[in-house]
Amino acid sequence: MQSSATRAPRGSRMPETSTYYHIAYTIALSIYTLYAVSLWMRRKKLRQP
Amino acid sequence: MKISWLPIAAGVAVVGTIIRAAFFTPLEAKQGAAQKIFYLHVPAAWVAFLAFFLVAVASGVYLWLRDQRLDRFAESSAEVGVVFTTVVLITGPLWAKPIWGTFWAWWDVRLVSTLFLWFIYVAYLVLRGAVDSPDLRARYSAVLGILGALLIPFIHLSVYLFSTMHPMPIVGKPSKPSLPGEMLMTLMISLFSFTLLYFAFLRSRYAYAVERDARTARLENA
Repeated sequence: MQSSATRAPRGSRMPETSTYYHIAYTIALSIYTLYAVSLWMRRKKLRQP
Repeated sequence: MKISWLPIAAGVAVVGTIIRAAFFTPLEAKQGAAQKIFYLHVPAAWVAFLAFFLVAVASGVYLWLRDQRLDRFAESSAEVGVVFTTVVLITGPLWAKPIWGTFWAWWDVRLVSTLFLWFIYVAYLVLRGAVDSPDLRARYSAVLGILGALLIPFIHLSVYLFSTMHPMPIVGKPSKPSLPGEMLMTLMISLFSFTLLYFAFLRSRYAYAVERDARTARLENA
């Protein structure tokens, strides 16, 4: 893989890779959200008599 | 009801980072949109390394002082570190597929050693659930927590030591970062936001461990 990044010029043709980008963001944010919910649920369960 | 500012600040920072990465950061010329996975993948890897490094530090000091607070801290940081490593292991292959043409390569030392790191800290959490005695549990897991963190410098240096598909560092290197200014700024904001998220998770997980231990003590004394 390249060891540098370059800004794409305006209007230039680029590879269509947005599907992977959308899937990665959706999965990562879902994992963080589910973990936050799991922490909240575990603490809530502990407080039940 | 007491409102905690840290989770709110972390949530706002992460949402702001995603908006900046999606709408206000230019596309990379050769990779297109997939390069934006960089702003999730690299901060998740940084936070995972930080989390496991802190597990090792807390575990080492625990073995010296035998303070339960350090064991709880190590346990909490290990769990949060596993969450961030899971994100690294999912976002990495999703970035690799369009750029390298494959999701995974077993000969790539950085990929495989990161997977081993994940296994070690999953084993750490399983071990904690399998030992009933609190003192033994803390001692065994402290040793595993320290040994697991020894992989971190190896993973970091693997791109220099072995043939790998991963690129050489483009930011964390002695010379100037090979990244346009807007991309570098988004990366810095992302590193800050996800580090804040780590501390928010860590504080909440630590508070859970304190409440759980207090409840166990109450039940034992009843």
